[in-house]
Amino acid sequence: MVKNYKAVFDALFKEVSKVIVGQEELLRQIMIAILCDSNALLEGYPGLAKTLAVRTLAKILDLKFSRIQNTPDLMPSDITGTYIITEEHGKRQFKFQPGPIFANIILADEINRATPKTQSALLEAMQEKQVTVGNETFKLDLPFFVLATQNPIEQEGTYPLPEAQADRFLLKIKVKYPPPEDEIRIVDKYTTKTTIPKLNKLLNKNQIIHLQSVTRLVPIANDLKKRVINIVNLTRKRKDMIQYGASPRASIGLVLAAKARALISGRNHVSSEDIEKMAYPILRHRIILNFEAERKGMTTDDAIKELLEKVK
Amino acid sequence: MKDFKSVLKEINRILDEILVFDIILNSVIIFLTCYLGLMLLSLNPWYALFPTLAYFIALLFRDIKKNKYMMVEEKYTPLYEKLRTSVDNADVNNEVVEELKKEVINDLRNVKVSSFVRMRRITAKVFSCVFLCFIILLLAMYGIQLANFNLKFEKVKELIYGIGKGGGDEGGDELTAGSGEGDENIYGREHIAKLGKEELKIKIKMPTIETISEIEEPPEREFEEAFPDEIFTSASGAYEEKIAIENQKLVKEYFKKLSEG
Repeated sequence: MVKNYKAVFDALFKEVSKVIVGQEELLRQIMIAILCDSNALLEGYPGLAKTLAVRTLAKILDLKFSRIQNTPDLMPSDITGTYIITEEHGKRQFKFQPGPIFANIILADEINRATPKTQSALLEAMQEKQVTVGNETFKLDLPFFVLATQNPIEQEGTYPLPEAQADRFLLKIKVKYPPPEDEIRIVDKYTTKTTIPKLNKLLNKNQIIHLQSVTRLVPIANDLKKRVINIVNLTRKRKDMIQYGASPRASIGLVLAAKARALISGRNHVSSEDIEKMAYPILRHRIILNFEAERKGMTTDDAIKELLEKVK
Repeated sequence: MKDFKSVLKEINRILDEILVFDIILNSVIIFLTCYLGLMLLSLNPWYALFPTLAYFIALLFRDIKKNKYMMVEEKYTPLYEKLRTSVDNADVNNEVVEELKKEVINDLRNVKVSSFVRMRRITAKVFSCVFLCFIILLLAMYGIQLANFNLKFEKVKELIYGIGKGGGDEGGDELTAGSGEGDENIYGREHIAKLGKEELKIKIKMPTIETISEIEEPPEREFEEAFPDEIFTSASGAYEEKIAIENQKLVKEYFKKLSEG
């Protein structure tokens, strides 16, 4: 059964590769976030195909896709929607006009450029899977996930996500520069042809919801579960390099993400490799290094690497 | 899944048996080595049972607690993490776990019990046992000893025993009687015999398996006649004159002169 799922994911990644060259790890981690029914924060320099990857994936998944380009003047109602006056049969009435949040996949581009007020509106929708406008609450269509992007550069005039809000994202995916051989293929692909390849829809809403439920069925050994808890606990104890550690939400996220990774890899059990690979995107936005560690030039990934080596 | 649980039980049982066999073999080697050492030092060789038992119990506790599934996983990489996951989720029933259990049962078919039995090591251990037994028999046959610690040990024991008794209130009298120089020296020690100037040649026959087997019970004799009449017993008696102390010397001189005359 799990082998069949692997075939589905392989076909999906193959379809994406028609548009995106390389970035396998980025696509895999986005898919993990989707399988975990959660959200992901993509961080990378401009021009690394973050937006294109999400858009392509949305097309293949046969889901309603919307894009929100965050700017400082973006208002919460621009995201959630608002009441407008309409006239029907000579009678004026308020009618709710849904915003771009009413979709299945939301690409919140440059989320750190929106004001905290707008960010909050988006994050509330992410957490509750519902939107409250005025006195009325609207349920969002499932599956629902937000894939937000942010630039690590040009921090002027931005509103960095507070830690509490960053915690709502299951994964913080770092988008890296492609290796030279991939870059040659990218250049060839986009300088020789003008037509965009036709993409096939491979998964629909129900299939995705089913895959999400299967993800939770993937078993994990007790000692691996214990290792996850020990890793997350250690982030709170290592005061010599970490000022604030991760919450139990990180433990839940790490187990779930490891399960999703196992399913994508065609395994019917979680392996320690899944935990090690997923520890980085799960923990990197949940720990804050102290001054001493930053002074030494340490990054959160370095700290996570040290924690993983400690907890075997 | 009943089958899966019985498979897990079987893994535990087989690996327990292998581990216990190895512990027994090690214990035998330890016993024989200690036995040999104690024999060479002229100490009671049965004391070798104590370290052997201590080793056996400690190892048994350690190895019984050992995770047998990890042992299988270490030997068979396709089962790595798979087996323990299925064991931890043995009571879970869902499509993914059931599939995993089936996969594990299939993979376990490739696991050979012989892979856990280290034949070279076992052979070496068995040969060590045989060699040690042979050495022990040889030493016993020729009565070879490196040092007579038994004697020294006895001396130490005597000393400790003596001090122990002398120190206490109850044993105080015994100590003065035993170690005093009064009456004891009059008669001399019983075990010392005056042999004269002639050399005494004594040869003790080596105890061998043959001689031991030759030893027989003494024959029972039946006495037909009763004891002769001349042999009889009578109650012993003692007579002592009541002579005053001041006259005792005078009486003594009188008898002396009488005997000289």
